[in-house]
Amino acid sequence: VLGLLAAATVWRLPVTSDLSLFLPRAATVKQQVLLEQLNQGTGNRLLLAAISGGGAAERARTSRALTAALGDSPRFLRVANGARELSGPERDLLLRNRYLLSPRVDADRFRPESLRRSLERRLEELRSPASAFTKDLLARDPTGELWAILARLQQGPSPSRRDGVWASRDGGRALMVLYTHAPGTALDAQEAAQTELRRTFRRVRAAPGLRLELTGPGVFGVQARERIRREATRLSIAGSLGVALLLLVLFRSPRVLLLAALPLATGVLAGMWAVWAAFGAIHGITIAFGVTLLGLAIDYPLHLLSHIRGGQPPPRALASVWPTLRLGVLTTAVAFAVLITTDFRGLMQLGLFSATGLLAAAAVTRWGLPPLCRDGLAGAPPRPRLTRLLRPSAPMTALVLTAAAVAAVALARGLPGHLERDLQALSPVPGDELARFRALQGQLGTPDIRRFLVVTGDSRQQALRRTEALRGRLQALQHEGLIERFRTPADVLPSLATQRRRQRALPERHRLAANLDEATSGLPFRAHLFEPFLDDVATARSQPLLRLDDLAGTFLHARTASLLAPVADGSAALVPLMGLSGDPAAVAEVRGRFPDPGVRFLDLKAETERLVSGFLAAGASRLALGAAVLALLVGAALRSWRRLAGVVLPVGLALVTTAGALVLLGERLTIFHTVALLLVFGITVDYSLFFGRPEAAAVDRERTLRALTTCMASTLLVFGALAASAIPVLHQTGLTAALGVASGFLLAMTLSPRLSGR
Amino acid sequence: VLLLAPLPAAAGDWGLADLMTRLGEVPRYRATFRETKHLAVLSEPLVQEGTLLYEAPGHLRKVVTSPHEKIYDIRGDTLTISSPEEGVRRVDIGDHPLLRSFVTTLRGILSGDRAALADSYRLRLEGGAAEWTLRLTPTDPALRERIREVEVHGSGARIEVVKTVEADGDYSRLAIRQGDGD
Repeated sequence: VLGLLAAATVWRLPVTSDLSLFLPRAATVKQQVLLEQLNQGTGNRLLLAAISGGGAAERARTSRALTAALGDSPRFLRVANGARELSGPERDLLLRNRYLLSPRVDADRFRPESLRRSLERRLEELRSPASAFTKDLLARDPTGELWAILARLQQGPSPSRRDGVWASRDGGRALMVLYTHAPGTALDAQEAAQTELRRTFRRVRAAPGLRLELTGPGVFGVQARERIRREATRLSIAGSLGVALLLLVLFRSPRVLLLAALPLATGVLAGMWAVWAAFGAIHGITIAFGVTLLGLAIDYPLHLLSHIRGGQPPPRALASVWPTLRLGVLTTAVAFAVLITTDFRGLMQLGLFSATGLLAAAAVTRWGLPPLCRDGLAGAPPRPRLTRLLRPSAPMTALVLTAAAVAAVALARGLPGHLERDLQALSPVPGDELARFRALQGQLGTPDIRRFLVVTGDSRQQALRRTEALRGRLQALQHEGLIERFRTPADVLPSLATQRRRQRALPERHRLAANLDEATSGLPFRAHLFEPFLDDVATARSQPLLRLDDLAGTFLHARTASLLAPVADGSAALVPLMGLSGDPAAVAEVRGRFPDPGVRFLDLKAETERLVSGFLAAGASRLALGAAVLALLVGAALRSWRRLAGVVLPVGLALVTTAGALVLLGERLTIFHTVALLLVFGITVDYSLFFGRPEAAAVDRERTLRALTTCMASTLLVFGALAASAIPVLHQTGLTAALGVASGFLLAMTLSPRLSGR
Repeated sequence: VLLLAPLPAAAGDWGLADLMTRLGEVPRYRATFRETKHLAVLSEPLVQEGTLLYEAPGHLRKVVTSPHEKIYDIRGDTLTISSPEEGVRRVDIGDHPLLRSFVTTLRGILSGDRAALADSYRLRLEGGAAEWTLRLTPTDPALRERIREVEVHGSGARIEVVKTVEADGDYSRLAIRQGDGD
C-alpha cells in the first residue's frame, strides 16, 4: 500500500522549482519583476555553442548546416551564427510593419527633399560593393526604414567572424547563439532541446573531428540535476547500506530494517500530501529540505526496538519509551510548525511538511510497529558495556564544554563574514564551467543583464508610453559612456499612440506619388520602379496596429515579452542597462536621472541577496520563537527547572558548537546549513530528553544508551556520506548534520544526566 | 599540393598553375580603374573611377575619385570605408557574404591564391599566356544565390578586366589599367 501511495505521490504531485520559495507573500513590484526575470527572462533560455577542431572552413560549414537544420525546430526560438542577422519570419514581420516601427517615420520623411536625400543615399549604396542588399529592397523601401529599425535592434559590439560566421577571438572556434523555446528552469524540455542539438550536430558536421561544446543556464540546470540525482542516489545507498549493516549486527534480524524504514517513509509521504493539500503544489527544495529534517524519524523506531526484550510483548517496551518519545516529537513538531507563520512560501511549506511528517512517523511507531513485532524480537540481552564506556566523567565534560566554548567564540567572531547571500553560491554549477560560459558570453557580446529600469503603469500601454518618454535620457547616458547600451520593449513594440502617430504621418498615395516624381527627376532610377513602395505606404495607412500577439512565433516575441512583466496592479516594462558598472557613484548618477513616477532602478543581484537575507532572517527569528515554545512545553511537561535546563542547554550549545565548527572549517553559511541546523535542533532535543530521564534499572539505562548510540551512529552514517560529496547542497547539509549529531550526542550525554540530577 | 596538381584544362603549356605562380610573384600592384555597374533597377549604368592598390599578401585599397570621393581599405577581415560626407566606417567583411566574396575573389586573383579561390569556386582557364580568361563559378550554395560567375581577363601577370555577373543578371565590369613604374 505504501509503495502504491509513494508511486502515486511521485507521479501526481506538482513540483515547482522556481525561486518563489524565497518570495514573501506580499511581494513588491521589484520582487515580482525579479522572479519573472529569473524564471521567464530570455537570459535563462540562452545556449551558447562552440564548434572546435578541424579547419576554419569546416567549422563555418558546420555552423551553417546546424543553423539551417535547427531553423525549423519548434524547440528553438532562435538559432544565430552570425551569417544572417535575422531569420525569415522576423525580417518579414519587421518589413511588413516598418512604417509603424521605424523611429524615423514622421511627416517630413516623405516630402520631396527628404525623399531625394534618401534616394541619393541609395544610389551611393548601389555603387558600393555591398549593393545587393540595397537592391533587394529598393523598390519597396527606398527610404530605408527596415535598416533604421534593424540599427536600433542590433546595437552593441558584434562578435568576431571567421569565414562569415561568428568565431572566438583567436578564430579557433565557431560560435553560435541559441534561445530555447522552453525556459531554462523547465529541465525536461531543456534536456530534449540539448539532445536534439547534439544529435543534429553529429549528423551535419563537416568532419568527424569536429566537436560541439555547449554551455548556458539550461545546460547547467540539466547537468546539475543529473549530478545531484547520481550523487544523492549513490551516497544515500552507501549511507543506507551502512545503517542496514549496523542494525543487522545489533539486532540480528532482517525484519528490523523494514520496521526501521517504515515510519520515515510514512512521514515523508504524509508531509508531501499535507503540503500538496494546503498549497496545491510542492517546491522541489521543500521536498529535499523536508526529507533532511525527517531524518529525525530514523530514531523513533530505534528507541522502540531497543527496548523490546526477548519474550516480552512490545507494549512493555512501548510503555517505557513512549512518554519520552512523545514529548520529543510533540515539542519538535511544534517548533518546526512555527515556520508556518512566516511570510515565505518556502518556509511555510517546510514547516508544514516537517511537522506533519514527524507526527505521522511517530504515530506509525506508536500504533503501527508494535503489532508488527508481536512475536517479539530476539534482542540480545544487554550487557552493561556501554553504560561503563559512556559514563560522563569530569574531564570528558570539561573537554566537551571547552570545545563548545571555542566554537562559540569562533561563531561570534566569524558569523557576519560567513553568511552567504549570493544565490549563485548555492548553485551546484562548478566555478570553471561558469567562467567558461562568461568568457563565451563576453566574446559574443551577449551581456549578462543585471541592472534594469522598471517602468510601471496602470496598463501595458501606459508602461510603454512611459518607457518611450525615457529614450532621450537613455541615449544621453549612452553618449556619456555611463552605459554601453540599453534595450526597451518599445524597440519592437511601440505604444499604440506612437504607432498611430506614425501612421497619421504617412501621406496619401497620390501625394506620395507626386512627391516621388519630384524627388526622382534627374536620377537614373527606372520608371515605375517604386510602385511597390507606393502600395506599401498606402497599405500601412490603414494597417492594423502591431500588438504583442502579432510577434508570436518569432524570436522578437520572446525578446519583447521578457521585457514586459505583469505586476500586481498593472504592467511593468523593463529597460536593461548594459555595461553599467557596479561603481556606486555611477549607479547613483543613473538612478538620479529618472525621478519619473513609476520608474524604479533594479539590481537583480542586490535584490536577490535582499530576498535571501530576508528569508534567512525570517527563518532565524521563527527558529528562536520555536525554541521558546519548545522550552515552555518541555518545562510544562517535566515540571522541573533542572530537567528543563538539561534539555535547553545541550540543544543551545549543540547549535552554537555546530555553527562555530562550520565557521572554523571555513564554510560560508547558506540556507542549506540553516535547514540542517533545524535537524540538529530536533535530534538534540530527543537525545537530551532520553539522556535526562530517570531510569529505574541498570539494564534499562543500558537499553536507552544502546538506543541512543544506535540512533547517533545511523544518523552519522547517512549524513557523513553526504558530507563527502563535492556538490554544495549535499556537502553542506551532510556536514552540518554530522557535526551537529556528534556534538549534540556528546553534549546531551555529559550535561543532561548531571543537570537532571541523576 | 594543389599548386602542383596536373591541369587537364591547360591550353598548350600555359596552365592555371603557371598563371597563379605569375600572379603570386607580383608583390605590389597599382592601377587605375573604371567600374561600370549595370543594374536592372536603373535606366543607365553607374560609373566609378579611381585607383586600385594592392600589397601582398592582404592589403587592398580602392580609391574612388569620381563621381564621389570614397576610399575602401581592406586589411584582413576589416573593411574601412571613408568619405568626406560620411566620415569613417568600419565593416566586418564576414557580415556581408557578397562583400566577402568580392574581397576574397579579388584578393585571391591578385595574389594568385589558388587554394582560396578553389574553396568557393570551380576554376576554368581559357586562352594562352598572352591573353587569358579565368572563369570562376561558385560552388558554395550561399554564394551561388548571389553570384552566377566571375570572369577575369588578362595578359601575362597583368589583370585587365574583372566582370562579376550576379544571379539576377545584373553585372559589374571592372576595367584595370596598370600604371607605369610600379
